[in-house]
Amino acid sequence: MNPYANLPRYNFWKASIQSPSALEVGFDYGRKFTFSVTDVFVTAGSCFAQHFASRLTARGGNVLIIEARHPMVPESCDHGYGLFSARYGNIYTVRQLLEMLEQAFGIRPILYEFSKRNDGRWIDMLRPRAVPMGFSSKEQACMDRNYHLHTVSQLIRSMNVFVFTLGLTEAWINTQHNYCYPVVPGVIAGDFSSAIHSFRNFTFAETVDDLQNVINIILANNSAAQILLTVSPVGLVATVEPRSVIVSTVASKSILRASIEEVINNNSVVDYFPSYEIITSPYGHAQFWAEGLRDVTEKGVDTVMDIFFNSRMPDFSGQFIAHSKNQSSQSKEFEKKLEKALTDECDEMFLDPSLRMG
Amino acid sequence: MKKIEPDFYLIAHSHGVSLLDAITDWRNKMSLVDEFDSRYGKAFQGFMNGSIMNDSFTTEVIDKTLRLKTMEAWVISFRSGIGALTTFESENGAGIIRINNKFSEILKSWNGSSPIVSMLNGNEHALTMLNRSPAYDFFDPEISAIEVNVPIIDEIFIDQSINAWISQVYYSLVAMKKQVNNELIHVLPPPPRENPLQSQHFEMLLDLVTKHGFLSDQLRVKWYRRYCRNLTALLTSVDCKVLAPPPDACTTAGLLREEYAEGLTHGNSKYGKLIAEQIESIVTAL
Repeated sequence: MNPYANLPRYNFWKASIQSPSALEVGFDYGRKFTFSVTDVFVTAGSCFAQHFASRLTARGGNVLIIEARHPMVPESCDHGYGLFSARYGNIYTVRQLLEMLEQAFGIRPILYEFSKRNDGRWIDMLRPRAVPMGFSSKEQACMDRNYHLHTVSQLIRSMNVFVFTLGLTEAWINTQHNYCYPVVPGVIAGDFSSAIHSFRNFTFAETVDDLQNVINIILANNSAAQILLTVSPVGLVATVEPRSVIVSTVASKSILRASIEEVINNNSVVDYFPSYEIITSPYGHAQFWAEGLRDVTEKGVDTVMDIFFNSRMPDFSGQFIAHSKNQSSQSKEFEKKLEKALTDECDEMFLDPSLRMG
Repeated sequence: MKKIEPDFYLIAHSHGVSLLDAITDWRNKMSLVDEFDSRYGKAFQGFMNGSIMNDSFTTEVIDKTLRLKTMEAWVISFRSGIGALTTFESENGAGIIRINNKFSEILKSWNGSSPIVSMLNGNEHALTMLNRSPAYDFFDPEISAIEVNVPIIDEIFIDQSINAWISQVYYSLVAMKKQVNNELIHVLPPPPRENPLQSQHFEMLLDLVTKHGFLSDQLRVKWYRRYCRNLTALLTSVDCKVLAPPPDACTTAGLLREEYAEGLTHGNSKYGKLIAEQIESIVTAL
């Protein structure tokens, strides 16, 4: 007799890797909690979080959209509503999420930094692609930011489950006022200045601290909330570190993954869902990578969501097909917009000159 | 024989009634059928049902406090059958303003040196006073206050609505500019009423008012000012003078004082008198 003798097959490499389907590998075996059909989800994070929200909605999951399109805003405009629960756009680093929550809950003053794009529209530098059409004036951008942060506070208070997909550790910081940007100034809007903007690669300790602070803020405002963390399998477009982008990707993902391990061990309402492993592990035989070997294929995302529903929403799995056939017009609209968004590139793509359109 | 011109010409929809009531006895020249219409106050009985005559008329200015002596007016009721004064069409990639025959005929007879005062349209923004949408606000450079915790509608969407409304006035004045040599003066409509619920007559909006109620004073004024600002910019770009509402008729918040209101959206004869004084100062300065 030894400690491994009675462990389930999921604990063994050979049995796992030989599983006939991804559902039987047991990727999510050991989960802390499951969800019910009545749970209200809020999603945030990097590009992969958009896929997650899209599929969750398509299968009838209840994704909360608080910052929604007002009837006076034409549907046809590129206004950025419906991609996430509020118009925060892609949130790549834990620090970015932390700073957003700190502003939303008045822990730090609201940060205002806007730039005028070449087309004359104003861009919020702290969510430069969240509102693709930009704003008519700086004043309007400022007022919209106030409202946006109000909706963030509302959604945190209203949700049951916060799903956050961690994407990067590399970021650019405004050294004058100590906040980070989702995209380095000068790429989408604004001007880069080495006197103001500096590169930062968040360490394991910083990421753990930031994650814990995020959890604390969420729970302080919604004590019943559950938090599900995932790591985006999508690699970095570019790195500023003096090393290969592939090495930087592994470093970033490793720090994020290890940080999650640290916080889930210390927080009973925080759990990890292994999207990252489902896509990147040898079990997938690299079949989930799209052309370019950075993005995830539709099949990969579907596999992640199949496992998610099978493992996390057991009382829902029998219903989601009926749900998806009878989606409300709201969820269809949401899905349509998401489809468009999914065909768009992540903000990060703007970093690589060879990938920029136009 | 050369026509003796009046001191000024007036081309107007319903907002012209306040001016006419203030300084003329125009009703004696009209064959207004006095069928009582509860939607309107006394000033508009017989006007809105289309019984007003469709030709211009010359009338004496009976208010002897003014230096103005005569005016010629063409007052158009929306149910008169005159229809739109202009239509805008695209032809071979170019925009063409087509002018209504009756309008053209009137303008030809007015071509001269006396100014033409326009009180055309002006109620296009009336629906914005109603609380028909989920809460919202928008930025206005003249009014810094903003409703908190409501969606901020981008100004381009506000302007899209407004620019569609003001195009009718703009095209009418552009058409006039092309047809006559007279100075053109457009009178902006009165601002939203100070206490709209005190109105005895809700005009055509009773059902909507009952259903939706009114927007905040601040938002009603924002819509109105943006309408006026956009229209003023367009009209001054084609060399038309624009008369803003008389300050004495407005509250500090920019609303129409109750004592100057007629029904839900119009000014009364007291308001019209202030407009007449504004017109007089321009006409006598020319």
